[in-house]
Amino acid sequence: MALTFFPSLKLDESASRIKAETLYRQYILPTALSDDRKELFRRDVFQKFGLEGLIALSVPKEYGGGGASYRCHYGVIEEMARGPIAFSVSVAVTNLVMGGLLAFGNEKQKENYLPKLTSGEWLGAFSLSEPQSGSDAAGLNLKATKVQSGYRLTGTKCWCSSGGDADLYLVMTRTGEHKTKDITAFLVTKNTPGFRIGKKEKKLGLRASALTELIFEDCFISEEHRLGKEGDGFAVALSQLDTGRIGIGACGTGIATAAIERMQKELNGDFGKHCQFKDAVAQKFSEYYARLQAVKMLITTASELKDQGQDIKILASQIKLLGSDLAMEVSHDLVHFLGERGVQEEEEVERFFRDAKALQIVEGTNQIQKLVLAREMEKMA
Amino acid sequence: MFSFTEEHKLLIQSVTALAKEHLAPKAEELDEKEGFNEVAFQKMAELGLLGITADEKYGGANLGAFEATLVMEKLAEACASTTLSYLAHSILCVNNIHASASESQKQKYLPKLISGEWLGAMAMTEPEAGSDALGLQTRAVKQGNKYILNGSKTYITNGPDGDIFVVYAKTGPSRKDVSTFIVESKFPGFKVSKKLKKMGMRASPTAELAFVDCEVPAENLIGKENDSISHMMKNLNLERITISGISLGITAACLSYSSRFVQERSQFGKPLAHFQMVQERISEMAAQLDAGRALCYAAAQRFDSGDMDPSLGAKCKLFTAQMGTKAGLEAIQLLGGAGYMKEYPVERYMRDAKLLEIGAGTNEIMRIIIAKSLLNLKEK
Repeated sequence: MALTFFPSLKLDESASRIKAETLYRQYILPTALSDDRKELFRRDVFQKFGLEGLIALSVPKEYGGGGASYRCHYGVIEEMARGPIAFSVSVAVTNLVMGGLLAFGNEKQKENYLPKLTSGEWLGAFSLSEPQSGSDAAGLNLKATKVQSGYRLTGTKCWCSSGGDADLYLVMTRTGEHKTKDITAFLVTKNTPGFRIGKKEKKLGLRASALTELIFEDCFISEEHRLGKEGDGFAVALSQLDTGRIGIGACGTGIATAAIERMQKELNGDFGKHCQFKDAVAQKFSEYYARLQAVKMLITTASELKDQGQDIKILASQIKLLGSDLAMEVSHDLVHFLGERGVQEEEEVERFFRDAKALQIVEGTNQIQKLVLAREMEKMA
Repeated sequence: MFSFTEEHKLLIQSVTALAKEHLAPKAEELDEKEGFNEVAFQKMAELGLLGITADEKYGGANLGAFEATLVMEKLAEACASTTLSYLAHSILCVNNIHASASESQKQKYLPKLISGEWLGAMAMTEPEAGSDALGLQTRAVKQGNKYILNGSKTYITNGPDGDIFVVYAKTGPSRKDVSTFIVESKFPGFKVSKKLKKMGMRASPTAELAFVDCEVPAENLIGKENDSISHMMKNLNLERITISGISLGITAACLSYSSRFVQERSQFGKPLAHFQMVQERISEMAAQLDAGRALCYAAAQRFDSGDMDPSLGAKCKLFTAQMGTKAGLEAIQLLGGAGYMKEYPVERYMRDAKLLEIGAGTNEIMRIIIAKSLLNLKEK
């Protein structure tokens, strides 16, 4: 039995969710365990979601998107995030690249790249982090030096999601001394000479999604590949923060939904019959169910405001913080309640737990979200 | 902040040196491959650690729960899963035999277990008897000068490669009719039915065991028939005190690794250590760790002085196991992206720590034991 949530879904959202869930059961679930174990990202699965129009629901129709509401988009992310979250994360990240293109790209760039990304033919990657600039995002050092009709890029990016699998990389570089005003964004395609994929990281969770270094060695990028003006880079990155954070929050509610549904099943089955802590377990999961409903409502509200073009910075940070914390807590308790069964690899729940931890770190750690919210509160005073 | 005798300082020194040389360098690789650190076991044998609580005449070190807890802590700071295998061998198998078996059984099994020639394990948990330990269904039926064992055991640490198993089985109709047998892996009818894959503690092999008309000589019964509950509970209490040392070691590793990291890593122009929210996490972890040490050292000393209160072990394990997982998660968060990577050890610390909230009795069972020691829960 699926859990009930309110308000009931609008027709367009429920249609896209059903499509996503069907694809999830057909293509992601059967090999979820081995994909995670082998750290395998299955490109064909991503493309299936693309063919069904599920990757770019909120992108305008003229560029091949679904022209639908953000609610539909986050609904799909949530369904896919039942796991492994590699697939939902790759969709969320590709949307950051499409979002950057829509906000800052010129018509030619949009025409060149958006149809390939919306259809799932191409996978997008978004590269901001460097070894010395993580939480301090504007501290990046990858150097782009102006030369005739373009730039030469030298340096290393790290922790780039979908690195190696992606075809188009949105890369933030340094073009001057000013910490935030001299950052410039470039669209780098996979086979550009001088650009290569470095070390692939091994991780606690999120294992079916590649995370790599990007290495630029005197790599020439023509001016047509610059996104926005020189110095627009930080604004490009900031423009996608809200989308990214809500996307991660939706991955969190996706894991939380799967975990709570699993617990529901366990409590109603043999485990519940024999469990002497049944009441205590039910108490905990009732609380999580209430929190899940609340975060889902926040996502719905934020999506609607975003559709209207309103500023949702505060909501986006709140959703990222609450959604990822919820996923972590509920999956931790689920592992625990299942006892030794909970730590066995064959049980998907230990993967929920490992995946959830990533959500507290990526797209700005939860500590950074709290800093953002604290600063916003200062402004309100 | 703790004062140790010269002997204890020496023990800590030699165990720390062993851990640094033979456990730490292999921890990452064995975790990845789900391997087993045989060399470390040989080195532990050389120090007499494999029979830490056993008499010297069997090759043991003749020490108590306190020293065993210290050893667990120091070893686990380097590699928790190898330490868990060490605990299954030295406490669950060797100590159990030493505490309850007959002289001839001890003569036969202890020297080779303590020299490291044999690997020991204990088999209690079954597919249908986890938290409800006395619900076990493995049966032993006497036929002539043998017992015939039938049933299955699961989540058995050292199961895949163990030579000697202390096995609990039912020998009568009541829940309390539990007997203990020493079973050699080469006995007919003993089988390792499955090696299990785990989230953490991966260098400590775990297995499902099957007993199919397994023939055990009658002389391998420990003590009398239907008389195992008291030594089973006593050994569980010791297990819970000493296993808490593993949580202490993991937390110590989390604290030292993340403390070093936050001083070396700078963001926004200053080391992470200068941010209050980072200081808060580090200080909490340090205060918890010393509180956990104080609790475990005191409980271990009470156990050694003959106090059999089962809430001693329950309190130690409940407090330190939760502390360990929390420290692991906090260490990951302090390292941020780096913390999530296998290249850094803290995600392993967290995965290893989680098992200790489940194995040797879950947190929930620990709470019940503590509650029973405080409240009169007899039905009126």
